[in-house]
Amino acid sequence: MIVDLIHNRQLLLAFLERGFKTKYKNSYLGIFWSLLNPLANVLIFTLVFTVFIKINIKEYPLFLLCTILPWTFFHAALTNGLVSIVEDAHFVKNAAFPTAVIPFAVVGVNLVNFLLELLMLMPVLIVWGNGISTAWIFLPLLIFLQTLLVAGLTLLAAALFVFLRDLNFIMHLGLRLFFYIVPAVYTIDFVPKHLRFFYFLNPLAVLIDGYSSILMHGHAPSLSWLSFTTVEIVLITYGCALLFKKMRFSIAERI
Amino acid sequence: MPYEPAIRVEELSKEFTVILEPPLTLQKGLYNFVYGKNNSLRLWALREVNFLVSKGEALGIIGANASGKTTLLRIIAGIYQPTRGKIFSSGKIAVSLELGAGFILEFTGRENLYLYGAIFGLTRRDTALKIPQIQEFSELGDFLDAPLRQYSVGMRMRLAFSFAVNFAADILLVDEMLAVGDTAFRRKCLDKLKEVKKQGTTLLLVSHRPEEVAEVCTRAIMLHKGSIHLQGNVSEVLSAYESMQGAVK
Repeated sequence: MIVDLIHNRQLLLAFLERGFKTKYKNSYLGIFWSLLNPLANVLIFTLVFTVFIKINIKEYPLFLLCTILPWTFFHAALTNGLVSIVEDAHFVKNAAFPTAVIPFAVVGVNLVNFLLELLMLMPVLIVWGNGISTAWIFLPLLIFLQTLLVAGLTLLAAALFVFLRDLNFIMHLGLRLFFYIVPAVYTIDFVPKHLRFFYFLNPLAVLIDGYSSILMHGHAPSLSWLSFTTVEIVLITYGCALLFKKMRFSIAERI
Repeated sequence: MPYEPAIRVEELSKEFTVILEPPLTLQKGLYNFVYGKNNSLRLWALREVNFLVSKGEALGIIGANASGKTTLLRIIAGIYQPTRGKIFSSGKIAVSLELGAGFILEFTGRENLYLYGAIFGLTRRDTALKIPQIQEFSELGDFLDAPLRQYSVGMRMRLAFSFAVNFAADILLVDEMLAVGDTAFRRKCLDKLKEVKKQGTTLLLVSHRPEEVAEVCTRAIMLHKGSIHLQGNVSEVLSAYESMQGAVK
């Protein structure tokens, strides 16, 4: 399927272009609108966890920015990607092309969004945070791993949604809860030591902890956990791709 | 003179599972599983279809509604997989099925053409080279750079068909595309199809209008409830079709 994709990069580019144009065409400040969601989250959580419940995390809003941006990438890609194939039913039904391109384009658009947001975060970190450090060398790896995970899950979700049309309710609920078992609004220190092992079995937890580690504290993420997570992500993505392959031809018929 | 078949269909059968109360959801699926109910129907859309199309030939496919014509085209185009049997085809296939349905209204005609080009395997540069032809054929002129939202339905269909017919594929599958457009445009489309045939493109034309099939095609097959009822020379098949349709009345 990777070969397929490279072969079809024109198609992927065309869908990416469509994604960007649709997202930003009507609004001049398009990119800033997509920042609004994470910023609103930062605001609300800062209010709750520094004014109401006084959680002991230094520079809480900055910490939140570092964790919510990767979370938003994950969340947006999955929720938009879930419905992407069904929304493009007319293409899938009337032309023969690799359907995987559709959810991948959604992931691509959200990835670029995420990268732009990170770019905008950099000056904020330099002024208010710890600035750029050597640990940042791990950042591309984290981004790559996260993209792989997101791509695999989105691909599978998009295909499943064709067959099971109530998946969106399940997914929205699941994501809402999943948000709380990654270290996004709290740091890993808050997880009791004896539970930490199980906690880190969740690849996204490791990744998000990695982001806050690098961006906030300038520490490299734990390499042992990172390697374990890498293996997990490769397996998950591979599994998703296999399942997608099985469903691929039935999609056009069911849509 | 040996004819190399451009398309060979062997014992092609296609079965569909139709959900009786769509859409299927996880909730319904679990319910059905627990209570042993089944809300789906399996039906055969095509049964043991066999035919050959030579390179450069134009074959008409006619039949009543739901006889399997569109399913057949979709399988040849690679959109559906056969349940049984095989399909062989050589060369690039361009399909024109419900083509205008995927237009993005916010985009201009030109931008939509680039998207469609990519879907059918053209690079951006290839599509750019074709755009003048398409623009001219569709008679849309400057409208090409206006958002599709501003087009009338007829204009959109003209754009869709102009794209398909100027595609220069080895095999062109057309599904009732000629059902739209005014008489003048339809005449233009028929002439263009004949021209395309002369250039060596193999043509499969599905139509409900016998006069159009007669004009463009040399052979035809008649499908009835998924199997080929008759295959042969265009005039024979068409008169058989017409008498069948007449008999129903």
